Amino acid sequence: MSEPTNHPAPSRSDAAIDEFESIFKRAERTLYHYSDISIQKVAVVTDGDQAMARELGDNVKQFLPHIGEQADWQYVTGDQYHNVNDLLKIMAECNPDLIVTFRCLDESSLVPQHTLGVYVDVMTQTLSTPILLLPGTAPQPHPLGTHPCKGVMVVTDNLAGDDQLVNHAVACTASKSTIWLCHIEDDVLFRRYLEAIGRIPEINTEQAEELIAEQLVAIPAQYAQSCVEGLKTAGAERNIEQVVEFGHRVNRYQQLVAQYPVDLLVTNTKDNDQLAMHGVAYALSVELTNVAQLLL
Amino acid sequence: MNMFLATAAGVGHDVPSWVTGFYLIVLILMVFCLAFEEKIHAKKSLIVGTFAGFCLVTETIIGYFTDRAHPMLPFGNITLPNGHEIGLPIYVPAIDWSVITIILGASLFVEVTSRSGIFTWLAIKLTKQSGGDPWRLLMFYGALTVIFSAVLNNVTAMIIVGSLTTVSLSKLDRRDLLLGFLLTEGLLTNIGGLLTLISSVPNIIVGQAAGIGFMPFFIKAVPFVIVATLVTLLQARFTFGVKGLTTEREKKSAADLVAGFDESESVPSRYFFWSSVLLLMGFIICLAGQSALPWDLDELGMGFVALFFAGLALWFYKHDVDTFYKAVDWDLLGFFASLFVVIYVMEQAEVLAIIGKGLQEMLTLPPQAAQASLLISAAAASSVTDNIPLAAVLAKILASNPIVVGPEGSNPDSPFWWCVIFGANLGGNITPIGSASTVVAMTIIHKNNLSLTFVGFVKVAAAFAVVQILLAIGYVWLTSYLL
Repeated sequence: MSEPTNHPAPSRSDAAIDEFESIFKRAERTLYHYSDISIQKVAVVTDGDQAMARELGDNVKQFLPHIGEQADWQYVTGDQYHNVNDLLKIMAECNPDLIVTFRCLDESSLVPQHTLGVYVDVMTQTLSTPILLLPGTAPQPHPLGTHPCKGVMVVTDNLAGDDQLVNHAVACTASKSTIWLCHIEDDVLFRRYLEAIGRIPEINTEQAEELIAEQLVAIPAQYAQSCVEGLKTAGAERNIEQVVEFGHRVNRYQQLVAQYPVDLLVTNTKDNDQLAMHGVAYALSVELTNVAQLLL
Repeated sequence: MNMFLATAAGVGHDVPSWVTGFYLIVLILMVFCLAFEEKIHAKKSLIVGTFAGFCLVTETIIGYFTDRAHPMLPFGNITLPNGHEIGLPIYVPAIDWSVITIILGASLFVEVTSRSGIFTWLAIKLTKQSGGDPWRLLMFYGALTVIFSAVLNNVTAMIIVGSLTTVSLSKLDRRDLLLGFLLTEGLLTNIGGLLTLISSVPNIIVGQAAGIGFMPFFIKAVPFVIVATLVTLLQARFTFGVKGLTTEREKKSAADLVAGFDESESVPSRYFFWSSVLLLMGFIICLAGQSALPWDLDELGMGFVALFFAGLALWFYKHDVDTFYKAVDWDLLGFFASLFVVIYVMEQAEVLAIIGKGLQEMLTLPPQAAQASLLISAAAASSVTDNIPLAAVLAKILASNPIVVGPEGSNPDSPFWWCVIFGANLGGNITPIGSASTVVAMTIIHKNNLSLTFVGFVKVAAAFAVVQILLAIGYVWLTSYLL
């Protein structure tokens, strides 16, 4: 007979209450719920003229054919705004469901590097509208490609429960496309906590490392599995791949983008703790300029 | 003291009345120490063990100086049923080993089988079945509490169901109902503890003294447990405002949330899980049919059945059995063993005879009044102190009372046994210190930062306890009339 493990025995101490709470919390799953992302109105924001904006719009329609077919497209050109407030007013009037734009709008004289530019920077933080950031910068755009988006990588540091990210990824792809659900746990931070745990004699450090690491990856992995089942039930099946591991976030995401045929990155930009953009999202949006990004 | 002396003089033969009075004071002192266990910061086994040691030493010395020819403690060899004599220290035969072996075997068995995840699996499965509807959830958790209290013990039942309640109500965003749920579950543990002969220690002690078998006990307890559970749940529904969900949207949202629980997560091995299910069924069947076991196997007793199944279950962890030996509640077992020694000494000192005489007054009342008085007294006493010494003392006294046991010296059908069983169990619902499971309920309540004082508990719980005790009195009257 094998010797089963993992299940603490009940005892008469208060610790038993905590043990059983942990068992039940471990049995708790965050399930994915599919909802159709409706994009009725798209605003293409450029710092060029109307012809350039329309050409860009046509490229995006090819890239995201589902959205392109059903949406009402509006074009905002460089002569319509002169500062951030002007652009925000236009966006408020236009009230789009998606903004399509480049990094570093109206900054051609600055030779910008490693920045989103002031316009995009402010829009990501003040508007709740998702922003599709096209590859390259406004002064040096990269071609979007002529094929529809087939590979989307969802990039986050907390995948479990983020239905919004997954639903946007689904909305940007057709049925046979691949979605990589990526969740990278910061290994540096984890090591720092383990160092603290290592100084506490009441906690077995080796056991703590093993169990905490196991739980940290189990939660997003279970959610990713729930996405597969949820999409199948909703009839929106996609090829879901999960990448859940420890590592240096920005480096690892760069490697993953290089490793897989990724057409679009989907990431959260809003950070409850600060007005500035979410740390990883900002780093990725300025480092990975050769791939389109959907900033939520 | 004079009263003790006067009473003792009337009852005692070879025991001086001052000795009886002295030990009566010692017994009262021990009960007080148990009631203030938390203040003393000492475990029960140590408190009662100290009293047992004190009683043995003093009674030996007093016996030596009062009547050397007839010492108060009957030292000497024990005569076995086959006529052989065996030398045992006086405190060994003083202990009721059938009770000790039932508790040891059953707790080891539960300790091992609960690791299969069988109980948590059932708890999560029912949570999902409830669809997240608060009223259905309360009914399901109430039923679970009663069943777990009956099969496991009331403390473990409260820990399992209370923990799940905290997690599931948080998930459903209904923490406003948490206090009501936890209180109701705490109160139901003591009703579940009435279901079988081995569900609570007073049942085991009284059942053994009365000679009530597992099945007769179960058959008699089931109707009361079902009715009392339903009444308690309905009372909780109105007291705590637990309502069912009405709109389809609410129902869908709640069902989606509880659907997120995965019951298989708590099962480490399917093989072990199903083996534990079979073992548990075998354990219950053997206990139920113990008196009908063939080839004299029934003579081995229920304690052996419990130890046998514990031994079988331990084979799942054959390399780690010491883990389970450590997990046994040795404090509880030491407490029982010491308690039996104290009671034995009290018996020799005629203290039980004095209490029995006081009880005799109650038992000679008209039958219904006698039953109600005994049940209420037992409930009142167990609400403020440990119900185990109470049950042990009352069982010992009633076992020699002719009104209870009749001319044949044995009457398992006497309603007075049930008065003690109901009173000792249900009395635990009156105060938060009345039973170990209500103490656990309070611990979970405070762990969740919910405000409930001792008086606050009594204000809410007393209404439930009064209804349950009235139901019990009615049930004892009804069954004594029908049988």
